[in-house]
Amino acid sequence: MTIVELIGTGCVVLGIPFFLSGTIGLLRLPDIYTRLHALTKADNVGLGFIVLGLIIQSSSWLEVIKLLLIWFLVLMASATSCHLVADAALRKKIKPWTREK
Amino acid sequence: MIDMSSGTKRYTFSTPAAVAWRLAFFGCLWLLLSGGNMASWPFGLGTTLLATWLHMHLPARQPRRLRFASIIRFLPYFIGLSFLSGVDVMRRVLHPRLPIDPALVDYSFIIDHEGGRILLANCVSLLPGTISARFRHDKLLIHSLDKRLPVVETVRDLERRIAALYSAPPAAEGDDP
Repeated sequence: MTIVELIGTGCVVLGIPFFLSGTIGLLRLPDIYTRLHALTKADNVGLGFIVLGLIIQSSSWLEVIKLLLIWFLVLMASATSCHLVADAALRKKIKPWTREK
Repeated sequence: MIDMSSGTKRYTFSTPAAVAWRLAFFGCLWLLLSGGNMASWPFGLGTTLLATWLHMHLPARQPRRLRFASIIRFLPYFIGLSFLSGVDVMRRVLHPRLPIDPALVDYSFIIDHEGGRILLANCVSLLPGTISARFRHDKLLIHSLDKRLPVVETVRDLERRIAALYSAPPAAEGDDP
């Protein structure tokens, strides 16, 4: 294994705990709004590390541009859908969970 | 092309050249994503046409040009914050006592054009502990994961950086977005 492969694989592996904590958040958090936090943010960082890892190992510039494009499109889509889900939940008058005093 | 008939300035992109440019742009995007796989083109062509149609029919008011140098300066800040927000969520959901104390926070935009506001609303969802829940005109309702976070101050700082991404308002001439 070359040093480049090692760093690249390391980055991909580093992405996994973020995806995992997104899913744990989905299970542990109390309501739709807090779950959105976990899914958008943790998964974005997870994807960021995986894309970075693949870029480090990639062999052509075209592949790098493609990977960056995927990262950018997912980022836009996840921020937009996060907002749309939250907005729809507010419209349905779903009350955000609060910690009791 | 600017349609001045309806009081407010409305920018439409319906000249043949404008349609051709958009078709070419979305077609190249597909080419890049599909890696030149010819079998994907029946689907790709439909997507390209749909993207072009959507791009021409979605409202596009007050187009502003983005400044390339400012974007380069903004990116490390943005990537750093998204990373921190991922770490923040991870820390909270893995903590045995689930340290969250959510609240809704009202926020008023300073930026006066829609493009900047949309960009800010999207970036807020990637900041540590905040997502943009409702976006109406000059107000943003933010859901915060923790009451104690300085939400307004943090978002205000982000808004100033986003405002700096845009150049001065365009003159009456149409400006390609």
